Amino acid sequence: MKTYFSLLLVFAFSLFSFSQQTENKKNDEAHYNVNRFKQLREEVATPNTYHTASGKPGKDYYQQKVDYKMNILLDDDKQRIYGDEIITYHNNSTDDLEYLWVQLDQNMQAPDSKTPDIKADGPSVLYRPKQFTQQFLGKPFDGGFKIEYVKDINGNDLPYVINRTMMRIDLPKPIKAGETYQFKIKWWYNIVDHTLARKRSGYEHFKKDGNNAYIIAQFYPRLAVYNNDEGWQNMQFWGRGEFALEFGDFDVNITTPADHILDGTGHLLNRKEMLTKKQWKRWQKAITSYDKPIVVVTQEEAEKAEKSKATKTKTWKLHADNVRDFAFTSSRKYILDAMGVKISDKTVIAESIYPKEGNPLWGELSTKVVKNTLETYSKELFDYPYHKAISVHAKQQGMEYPMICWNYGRPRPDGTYSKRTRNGMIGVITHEVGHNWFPMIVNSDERQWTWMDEGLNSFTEILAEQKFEKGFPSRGFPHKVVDYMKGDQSRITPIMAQSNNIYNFGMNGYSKPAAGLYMLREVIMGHDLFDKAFSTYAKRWKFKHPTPEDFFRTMEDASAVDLDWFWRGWFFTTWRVDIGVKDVKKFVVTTKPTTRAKKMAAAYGMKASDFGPVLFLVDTDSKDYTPDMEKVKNPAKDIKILKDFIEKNYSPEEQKQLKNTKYFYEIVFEKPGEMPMPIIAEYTFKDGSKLRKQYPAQIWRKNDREVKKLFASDKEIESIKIDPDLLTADINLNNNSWPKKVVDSKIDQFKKKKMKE
Amino acid sequence: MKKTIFILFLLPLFSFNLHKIHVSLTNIVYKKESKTLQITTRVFIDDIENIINKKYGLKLEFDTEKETSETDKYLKKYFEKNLKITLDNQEITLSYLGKEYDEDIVYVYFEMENIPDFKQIEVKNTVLFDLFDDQQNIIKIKDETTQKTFFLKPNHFKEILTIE
Repeated sequence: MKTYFSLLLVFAFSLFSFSQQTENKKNDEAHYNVNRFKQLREEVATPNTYHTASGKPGKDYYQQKVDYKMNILLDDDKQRIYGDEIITYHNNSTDDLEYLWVQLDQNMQAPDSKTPDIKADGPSVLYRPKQFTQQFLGKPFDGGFKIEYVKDINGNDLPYVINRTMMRIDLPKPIKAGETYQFKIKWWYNIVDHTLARKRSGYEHFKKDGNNAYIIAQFYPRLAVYNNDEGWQNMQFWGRGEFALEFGDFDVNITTPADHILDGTGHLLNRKEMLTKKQWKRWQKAITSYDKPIVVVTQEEAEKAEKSKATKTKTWKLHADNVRDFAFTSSRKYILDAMGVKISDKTVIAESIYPKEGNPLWGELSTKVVKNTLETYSKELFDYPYHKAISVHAKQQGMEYPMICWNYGRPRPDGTYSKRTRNGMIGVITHEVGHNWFPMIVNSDERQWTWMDEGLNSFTEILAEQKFEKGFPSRGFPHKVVDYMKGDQSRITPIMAQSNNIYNFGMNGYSKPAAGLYMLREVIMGHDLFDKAFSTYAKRWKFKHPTPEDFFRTMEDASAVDLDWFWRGWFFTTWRVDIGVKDVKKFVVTTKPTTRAKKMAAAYGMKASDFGPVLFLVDTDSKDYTPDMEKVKNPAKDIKILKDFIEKNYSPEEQKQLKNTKYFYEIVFEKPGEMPMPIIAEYTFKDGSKLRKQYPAQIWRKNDREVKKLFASDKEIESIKIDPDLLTADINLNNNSWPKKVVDSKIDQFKKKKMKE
Repeated sequence: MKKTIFILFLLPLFSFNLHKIHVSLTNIVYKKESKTLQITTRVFIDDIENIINKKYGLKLEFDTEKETSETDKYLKKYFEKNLKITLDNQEITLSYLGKEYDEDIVYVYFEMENIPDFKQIEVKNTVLFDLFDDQQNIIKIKDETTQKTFFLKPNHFKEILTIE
């Protein structure tokens, strides 16, 4: 017996080499390592002491800090902003800096902006008179910063050079490593009508009452980021790739007409003076109202304010610590409501600001959506560290700043609204408030990587929306990116591409990365491992500047799930998922040696009978099959050597425990698509029962196109379905069923439905 | 009489611009055996509702409880004007089959029978060009042997495909 056993072992090993030889005959081209599962080394930056191999900030990690003290005047008559600021720049790096780069985002709208120059589409379909005049006849919109002075703290002029949206201040002497430097800038600029120019800030003019609502952002010259990954991040603001900004403290005084309602980033220090006695009382009530929002400035009060224009002014004082930007909103049209939200043991204020045109939808929902977002994101990532989050109603907007954001969602003039408007509003508020985490606090470089904040935020948004309303039509589900992914390759860019260069911005930067994370959570890692790793990443880089590598590494570091194949496929390439069942073969059990077994014996100069008591699995479609093999209904009972073995080695109780395995199948799974994915197989048996089995993606490691699985069961298979819940973004569902089921096109499905009616 | 003002949008630049993409997708499939030409167009409900109401001076509501059969009537009318298919220099008449809603998208279906095999197909698609100057209409043509995709824009609104 023993000799036979050891011989069997020898055969088992040699079988591997035997089969490999036959496969290698086909491919004779020498090659690099192109295995889809190789570790990401060439594609990512080398780990170092700033960004370590585990994905954590290293001992040499540094970041600059920039503080601003500003006086701002909002001129309602001229739609202008006047400002002066003292900037305190803390050079926490180990380098001496000979110049500073300051961002002048408003210059993207200056008459000499190059943004219109790079549009490559030819003439527009039609031009409105204002547009035509501005563009061809006369003066374009006079946008852009008008810089009055750039001086050092003692009042001496500093030399500077403006390269469109970037200003270089040439310092008289370098700021040494570890030193702090202060300087002053004075400027003004014309605020644009954001509903016409489609910008992230500006004013909306309401014809009926003749008032403006201002959403002000990118309103001050601010420092570019200096770090060890980019040096100075001074890529131009073309309008698409967003912002890279440093953390710091802000002290901002804003002067507005005396009848305006304003709020912005940070603590509104003199809120009590700015509100009436009644409004202040309501505010006190609102911030401790945990079950429902309370209106602080009523619609009645807002409508009254709309009717006249104050000539006097008042000055609002705001202070914010550790924020990467500053934005504010102001109008005499505003209604304001708020409530308190418990985040662990702290209270965070959820606030909404909107003109009457936002009602009834805004009064009903906005603050509640803010509350839900604060709660779900805090649970998934880390507790919201600021004291408030504001949602501001603005036409056709969706833009984020620390503690404040602009959101669309306007009902019709008669107060009715469609389901789409309501759902769109819930989505945008959730998304924009969510941005407080990515990138306001986990401060990635948006100018370079859109997906690091948009993708991660769009994914977390799904969790928040599903919590708010189960079944909410969230974007970012894997099946929703299928059409995009199977589209024309010349119009698809990998996610890991510079923000300004990507086609189909929404799909590329938002939905595809969100779908990727959704797959990681639902399929590849599971909720527990994913949630722990994701929140570890967020916590590690809270109030810091992460790079893509930090994210990729942390997700593995904290979970022990190898994800290099996934990052490469989903983020660095445009590989598509297409997995299916190619064939299902039935096998029977016999003691009659198969051709394959006989060949192996011959290779060792032996005969099949030398194997001793062994069993063989025979393909019912093969030459080795004979109908009499069907007599074996239950191998454990019908094959003598097996029966004998069991009776000899198992007690009667143990025998009862053994499974009744009678059916043997070879299932051939195919992967016409490039992207590896786990195989999610749902087996339906003849008795109606179902079994789910997920094979890890590593199954494709050595066989990129086809794998064979032996499936043994006590029940007969009726059908198999791959990815029944549509979780893998499979672009072709025609090979997902066995027996083969071709999925009807949408129009054919529609016709069938109509015929039934 | 107040004239409704069109607002032309430049390519939207927001942090949350998902919905603001101005794209439609038209699938044209020719089934040689049954001599059938099937067309499925996907557009955003908001956009098509907007343009139809503006163009015909209506206040129709798509995919709400207040929807009437007028939506089918005007959808058909609008598409007949803006989607022109010519096979071997012969323009075909579109036969409207119906529509289906899926969240914020509407699928519009056309099916034409007794279509003989053709060598050349010209597609002119100006749907929503009168609303957005950055509208992109993606056309995918498929038969047994060929599959081709092309992109139509306001300054390039028709294309000819020759099938061997």
